[in-house]
Amino acid sequence: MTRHIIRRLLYTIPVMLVVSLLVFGILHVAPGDPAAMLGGEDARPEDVAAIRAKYGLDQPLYIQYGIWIGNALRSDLGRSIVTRRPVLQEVVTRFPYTLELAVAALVAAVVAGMSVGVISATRQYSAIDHGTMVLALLGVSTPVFWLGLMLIFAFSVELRWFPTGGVGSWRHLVLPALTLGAHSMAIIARMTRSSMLEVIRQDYIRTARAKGLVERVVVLRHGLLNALIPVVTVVGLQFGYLLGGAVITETVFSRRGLGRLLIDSINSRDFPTVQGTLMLLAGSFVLVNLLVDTLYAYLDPRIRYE
Amino acid sequence: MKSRSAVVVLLTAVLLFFTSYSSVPSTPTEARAAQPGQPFRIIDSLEPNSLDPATGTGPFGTVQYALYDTLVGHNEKMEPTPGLATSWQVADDKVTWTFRLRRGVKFHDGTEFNAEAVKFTYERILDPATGAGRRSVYTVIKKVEAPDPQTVRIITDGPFPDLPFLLLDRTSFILSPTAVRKLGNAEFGLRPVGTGPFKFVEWVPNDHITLDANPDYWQRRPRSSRVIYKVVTETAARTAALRAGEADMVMNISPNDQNVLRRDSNIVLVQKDSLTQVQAEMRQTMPPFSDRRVRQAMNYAVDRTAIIKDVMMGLGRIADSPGPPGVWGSVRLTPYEYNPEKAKQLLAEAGYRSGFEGNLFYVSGRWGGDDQVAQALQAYWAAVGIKIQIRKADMAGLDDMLSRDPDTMAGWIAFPVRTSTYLDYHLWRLYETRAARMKGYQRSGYSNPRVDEYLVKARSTFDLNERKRHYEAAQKLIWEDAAFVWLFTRQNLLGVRKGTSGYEFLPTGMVRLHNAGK
Repeated sequence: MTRHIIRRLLYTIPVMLVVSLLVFGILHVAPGDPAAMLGGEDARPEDVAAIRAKYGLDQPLYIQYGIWIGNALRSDLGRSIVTRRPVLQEVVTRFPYTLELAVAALVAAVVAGMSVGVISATRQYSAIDHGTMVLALLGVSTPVFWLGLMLIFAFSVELRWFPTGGVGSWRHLVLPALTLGAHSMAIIARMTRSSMLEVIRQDYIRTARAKGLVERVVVLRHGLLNALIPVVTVVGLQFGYLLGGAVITETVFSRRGLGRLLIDSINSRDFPTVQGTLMLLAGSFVLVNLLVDTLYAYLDPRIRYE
Repeated sequence: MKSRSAVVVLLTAVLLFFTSYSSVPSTPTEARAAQPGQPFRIIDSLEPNSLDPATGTGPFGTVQYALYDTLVGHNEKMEPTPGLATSWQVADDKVTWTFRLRRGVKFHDGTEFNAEAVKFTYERILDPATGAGRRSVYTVIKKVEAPDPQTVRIITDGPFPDLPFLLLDRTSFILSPTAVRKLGNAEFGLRPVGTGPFKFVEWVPNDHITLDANPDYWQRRPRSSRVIYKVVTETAARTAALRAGEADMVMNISPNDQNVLRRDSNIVLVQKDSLTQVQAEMRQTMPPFSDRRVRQAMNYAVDRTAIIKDVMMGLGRIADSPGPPGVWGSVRLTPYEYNPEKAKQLLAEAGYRSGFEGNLFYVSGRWGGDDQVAQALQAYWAAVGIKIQIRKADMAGLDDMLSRDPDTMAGWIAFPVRTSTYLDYHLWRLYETRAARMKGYQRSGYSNPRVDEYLVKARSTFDLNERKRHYEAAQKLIWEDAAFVWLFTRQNLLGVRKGTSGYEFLPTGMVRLHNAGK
């Protein structure tokens, strides 16, 4: 098991290298010159050239990439072209806010999604089942953007329960977490329901009931626990989606975070910042996948990694 | 099994560590709000990249106005007034300007404000290593001298009557030389030091900037003891924050939100003419736009009144001159009427009876209503046979398009906004032949030697009446040439909570906060 994890961790190295090449390549192929942007509308060609030289943007691409990857290995991600702050500092100070948001959204999604899923499955074709599944469908199809604004109008402007945006206390986290988590909540609910429906038809559930176990134990210990594997896969994938999907939520709620940093830096062609942010997001994604794979083996002892 | 549990526990612990770490940087702003004297809270639409006046870009000058002063001040009409200089005059040679400086002014770091600081600031803008965006405009300054601490002499490259206008611009704020030398250019933009009414306290990126009143300010002490400046990029979220009472002032209100806000009795909306022109700029060194009749037809094809009323919700003033209304020397001409028949006729005369195809290139979401205005243009032009494809870009993409040679861009139209604080700057950069072909932002390729002649004449005399005559002639020629499709001058909307007063809402869309309070 330990060997498996070490091997998987080693695999992340080529993965991250390929990611870095892709990120670097795509950014430099996209039209738009950061030097021209910094120069502004009155800059002459010589002014733009001076800015380009100042930030090493006049070097051939492979040299720029070599310098960047070399520095990155020594944990120096360079400085933002736009703000001149060190990229590592920009990324590290924002990551906790995005993680906080993604975790809160995931917790909300898992708790609500699984509960709804289990309830629907145990009352298949009832009014509750139909009602919650329609809600789930709505959750999947509602744009994050719209949902966020509606929550702001209801709970911030009218009721004044929560602030409209920003970061700080738990109160700043409630609306963004619900907004971001709604989609995952719906998916987890549907997944839990179908997985549960499959499991509760198994013989061992009938056996459990025949043993005279109370329904709660039958459903939760014998049913839900066995229905978890596909759900965990979905949860794992959703976490990656939540980390990346924080972009829109962070914009609507004006939260500090990697998503906003990414959007701002893409718009201004701030190469070092985009690269640093994407590398961190990609790294998190890879680690989360590893965590999920490890969880399989824990949940289902039949799964072994050799 | 044992090792498996251990791994799970370990990974969970890692995750938990990150989660708990994320709640550590708790809320400094809330702790401060409890202090006596409520801070003045203002929300803007764009995060500054730097507070360095030379390299900062974007419409966030409100913070800079609070931090710095210019040598030449200005009033709400952007006319020059005494600032850090109490008086100035130009010598008979028309190129030597002498500025007398205010005494007893200190920078926030205690450095004395004097002629050396002025010389340092301007020479820094001119130094290519600084990377100042508007350096090319400042190259009209040949030399800055500091004969004594209270006198600055500026020698211009040829007569330049608009020097006071250049020196009141927010790119020319005077900086503390001590701070720049100590911090370096990059760091100075993050921890700025000026002479302004407020002192820099902290900047938490993507969250807020805090400023405190400067008790030693050379004018009256600022009314608010603290200013907290936040950035909310999403327009609907800005409106929500104002309605929820989370801000005393919100800038860049979207026209779409004005009805909701006007119904709210706690909010006052201030509507004001801006210096920002909305216009479609054709690349015109090649057909079809090299033909004046085509450009005129495109002007006649558009119903500006309808666009202002229905798309801009009334927040616009119909274009009646190449010069922005509200700046000195700008003339009022007859707006192009909405006349699709005349447009079709002109197109037929120019040999485009069955129309032609083209592209409209712009940055979506830069100002409220831009997408709808672009679509309206597309529809109006389609009605006379001109099929335009809309191409959206981000700033970097537009920049890239605008820096391409107009000779390679037949049929392309750029749709930017142009903000100018004085007429020479506006007309010169857009309509003077060399400027209109210069690599960079203004490559429409427009050229009319007679316009060039008037612009040069207007630049080289100090006689106001004579200058005005030259500018009038130039603007009339440009208007008849239908150089661009001018649509309207934008009006800015500022939202404030009831009881807020003392702020100065400038036509640039920025606010001076010196006397603002509630």
